[in-house]
Amino acid sequence: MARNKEETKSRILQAVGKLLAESGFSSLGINAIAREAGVDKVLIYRYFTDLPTLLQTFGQQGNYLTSNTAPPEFDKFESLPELLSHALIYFQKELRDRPITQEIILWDLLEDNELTKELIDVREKTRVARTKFFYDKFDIPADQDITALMTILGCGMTYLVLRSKNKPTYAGLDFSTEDGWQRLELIISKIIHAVVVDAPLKKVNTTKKNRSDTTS
Amino acid sequence: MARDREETKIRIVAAIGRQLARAGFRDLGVNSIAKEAGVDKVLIYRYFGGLPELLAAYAREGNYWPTSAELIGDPTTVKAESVADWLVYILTKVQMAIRQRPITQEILRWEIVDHNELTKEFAAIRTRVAMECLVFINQQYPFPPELDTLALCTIILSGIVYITLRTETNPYYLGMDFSDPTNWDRINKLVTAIIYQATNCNMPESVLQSIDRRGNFYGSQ
Repeated sequence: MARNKEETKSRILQAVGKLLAESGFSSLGINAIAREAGVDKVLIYRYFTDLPTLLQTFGQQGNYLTSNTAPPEFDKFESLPELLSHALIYFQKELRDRPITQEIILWDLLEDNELTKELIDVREKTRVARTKFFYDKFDIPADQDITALMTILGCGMTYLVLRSKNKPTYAGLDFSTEDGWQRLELIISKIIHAVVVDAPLKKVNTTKKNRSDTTS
Repeated sequence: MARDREETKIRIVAAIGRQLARAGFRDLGVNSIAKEAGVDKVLIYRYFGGLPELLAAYAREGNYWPTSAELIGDPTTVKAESVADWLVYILTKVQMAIRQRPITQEILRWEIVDHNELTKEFAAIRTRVAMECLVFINQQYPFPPELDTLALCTIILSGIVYITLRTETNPYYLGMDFSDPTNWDRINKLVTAIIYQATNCNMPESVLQSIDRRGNFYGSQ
């Protein structure tokens, strides 16, 4: 019985992803989700309360983003520019590996309603938590604008991932092969090393402590 | 009669831009364009053949994207003495062109999700303009051989485009509120620092007044 419940929940969450990818937020409703998942809609209300809560739950699980905070592998970096470069490449791969997330992010550009907000909020919180991780780990000078840096490069990455689904080339860069992405990774690393001054590590125990805070 | 026909054609083509800006690409079709232009849709088929041909006609007009001549301006009056000076100068103009033109933004959105006569032509125009500008700059001041200038411009411009489109529906990104111009200012200072540092160019006095060479962006104002 308990296993059935988990199975049903996961079927419902999968149906949410499929419907969002196909037709976006404006036509998403409990009835359509129930039909797609092949379950009675009463179960959706029982397990997830309502549509906004269901979307939040969908946003928290791995089909949407790998983790809501900085992934564990970020821990091993001891140089700030190295960590930032890695974080952006990680982010790019995470998005490229998740076609449903790509579709959903696309809808953010086209629609603005209560439901798009739920998933935008999940991503915004993830970004803020991942950025906070940099500040918890390193003593970053106040005048080093890591936020603006990660915004322009992260947005650039996002745009190129989304756009490459339909159009493999951008100016002279070819994103249908690894070559285009490779050039992008190299320039990102170059940019970060050019403008980010390495910062000292904070004491290990403070890092650990703050890191667990960010999961709240 | 011939004059009427040309006039009607112009009216129909012009209706596309208005329709894109107001209702967006998802509602764009022969019916909505005919309504916006105030003509019978039969005329659209008669004069253009159909929606693809009509989009192609609109695409050829091309005034949703600046030309390289507009971007470069009069080189004798531009105060640019290095690769970085030129790149920052032109990227700033491109950014303004995107942020100030709702029609352009809508075509950019459309381009991400769809392939059609207009988005294809739009991509071709942007690539051509970008190449003309880069060739021009390279003639004035050669690009550093070890730098992938094309990739540099691509990531920066992509970032600008995405921030513009994305903050149109929700102004927040990484805690920054992009309806507040000071946050665009932060992005622009950072982009300026990136360009000068990546190309290894000296920042002119005017730039050094707001950012420093090590990449201190907003603290040193």
